[in-house]
Amino acid sequence: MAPAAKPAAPINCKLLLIGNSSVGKSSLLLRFSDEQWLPEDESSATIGVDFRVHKMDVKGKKVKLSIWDTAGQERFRTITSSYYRGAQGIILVYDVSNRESFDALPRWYSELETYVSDKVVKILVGNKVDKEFSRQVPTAEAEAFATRMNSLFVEASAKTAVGVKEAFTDVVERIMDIPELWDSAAPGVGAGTKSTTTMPGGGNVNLAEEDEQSGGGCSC
Amino acid sequence: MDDDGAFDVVVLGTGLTESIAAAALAKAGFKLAHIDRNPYYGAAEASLSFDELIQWQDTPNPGFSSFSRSGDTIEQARAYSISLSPSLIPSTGPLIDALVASGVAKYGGFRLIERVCVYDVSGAVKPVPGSKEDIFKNKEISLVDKRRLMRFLMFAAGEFEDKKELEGHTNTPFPDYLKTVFSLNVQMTNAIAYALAYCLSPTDPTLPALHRLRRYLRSTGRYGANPFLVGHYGSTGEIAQGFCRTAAVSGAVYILGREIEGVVPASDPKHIVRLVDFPDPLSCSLIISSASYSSLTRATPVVPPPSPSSPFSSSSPKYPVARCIAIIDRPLSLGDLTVPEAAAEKESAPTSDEAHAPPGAPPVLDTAVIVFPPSSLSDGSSTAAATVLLTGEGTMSCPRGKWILYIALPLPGLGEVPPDPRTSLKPYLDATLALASPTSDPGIPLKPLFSSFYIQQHPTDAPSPLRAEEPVVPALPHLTPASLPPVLALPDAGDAAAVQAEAVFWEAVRILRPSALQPDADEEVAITALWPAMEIREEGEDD
Repeated sequence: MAPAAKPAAPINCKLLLIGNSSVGKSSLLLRFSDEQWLPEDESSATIGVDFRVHKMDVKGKKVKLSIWDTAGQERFRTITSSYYRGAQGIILVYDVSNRESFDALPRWYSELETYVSDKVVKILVGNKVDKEFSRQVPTAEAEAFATRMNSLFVEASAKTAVGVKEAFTDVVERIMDIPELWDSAAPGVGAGTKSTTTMPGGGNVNLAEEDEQSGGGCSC
Repeated sequence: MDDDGAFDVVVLGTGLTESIAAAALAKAGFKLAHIDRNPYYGAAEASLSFDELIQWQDTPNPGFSSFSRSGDTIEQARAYSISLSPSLIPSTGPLIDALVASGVAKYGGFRLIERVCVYDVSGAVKPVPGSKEDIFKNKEISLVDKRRLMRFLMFAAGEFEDKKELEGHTNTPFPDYLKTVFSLNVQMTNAIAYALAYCLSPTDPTLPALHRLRRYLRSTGRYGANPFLVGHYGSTGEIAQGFCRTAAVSGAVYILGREIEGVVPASDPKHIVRLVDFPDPLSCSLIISSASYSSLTRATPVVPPPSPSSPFSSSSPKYPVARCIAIIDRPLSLGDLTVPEAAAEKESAPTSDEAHAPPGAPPVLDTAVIVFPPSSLSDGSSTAAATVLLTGEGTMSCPRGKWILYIALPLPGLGEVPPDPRTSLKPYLDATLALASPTSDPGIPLKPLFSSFYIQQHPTDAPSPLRAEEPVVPALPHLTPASLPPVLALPDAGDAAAVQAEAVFWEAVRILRPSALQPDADEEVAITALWPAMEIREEGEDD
């Protein structure tokens, strides 16, 4: 009954970065998508990182990732509710050398509770392990917390690239294990996580990709 | 951002106008702080979850009053995005242009309105003929009337300004004009005046109505048969958030949920903005504030003159509007009149998505507008038209199997004390509920899961809390864009905001960086467009 997907059509997957200011969210994103590292004196608070598109093959499936950054709106906790719409994976970042950024995590989790379905895949990323000498958050403690929060866990360094690829790949792999997050044929999980393509009937309009309109709609 | 709290501009209020202006200014390179006293984005145009809506109703909001509601809870409360400013977006116009040119369009999805209907005195709803095709197909209109209607629509879609049909009639009430000049009958007059041109009352003058109608007619076909879109997740509020995100990506700083303690003049020509519970004051050369903050800033506001080409003149009526928000769990069936007829004509009709619905199951309407012309209900208004906007799951604003109804009725000429909104709107709600698809037991009337009624005043009519102890600020640069009047035509709020925002943008540039506007300005500093050309992203959208 379900229509066969076009062989080349990648699965769209939206990931979000959240966490306190200066924990290195943008750095993780730039390291992963552009293989770049901006030294600290050059990277002030986030300016200009909106989102990055990244394609990868996971478990034999082509996945088109869009990874969204907070645009600095985490600073005074003013992230827009629209930021969270349609996310399938959340990357929560703290700085292993900054206890405060770890202690702030419960508040970020409670924000997630407000805006996203509990089916959404979460990973806790302890960034800046290159600063091992000034570590303030023990690995075991963070790992236990992640388990309690039903999240994956990894420590990473955007500076040295340790654990970065792993963090993103782990989330996507877990998402692929949960078809209802991305497969329109699977039962939905509530309006917050559905992609627009699963909506009944026609009538959805994507202003940003006007050209696609002609090819949109029913695939029969 | 620097931590010295020094900005070029501080914008107060995150309504749609302010948010568009903030995005444009941040993109142009100005250092900007954007503040809202509410903990949510969108101000009077916000989209709220169900629980936030209840909280909002229980908090004093300048301009809103006379709340009543059926209850405080609903299942899946978080899955709702309820708009405080329900409106339609014409497929061509300033807001769509801004969404596309700024890149904000990519943050959200939109949905085409599926059907527009007029409520007839007889208690039936009639589809509104909005295109040649509709008119040809319609079997209820006589041939003579079809010709008259066609002649009028050709006139309205064209350059009518110098046509003899308009001579001496620019201020004639539009329905009268349609009757006398184009000999249209009452039914067609109602459909054109209220459901195509979205007149608010029988006295709306002809020229502005024709301007609106032409814009809407020219929007038809861009994204589909209907000229109007509605944004996902409550539309206006979500769009305002998109513009705020764009501003943030360009470096704007966002602070929400903090009251402004005051704006004080300093020795140098900078405004100092102090926020409650916020350590450092913000300094800036220019304040842009929505009208609801003007009593705090106490400056002489410089309101940018409306652009002469703007169809959104300040002449929009200043009376209040009664609003109803209702949530229902059965679809409406709005006379699928044209569909079976078209199907009966076989091959000629293009197959629509709806044609794929299994036989026997009528397509479920997700988005629609029902217009009640004046005097269409015996216990309704005789001086104003009511509009009902229906949005369902497809607009991502409510869970599956639920629909939100927004009813709006302007209240012209009712003096200081507006009537009880529930009394005014109940007839319209009941008439709309009576249009619900019948269940297996036809005796069961549709009862909303939730309903709420309230009044929205014209912003300047609303009492604003004056802070007498604040010193009066000398006339430092301060722009206050006019607030969106609550009684704009249903499709006009977003475009009006976009037009205002552009006027504010150019005025702000003139104040902050006049050199950028010199004809011989360096390419580096020159500002020539509201939105800079978008960078082509390397990651091609190659699929």
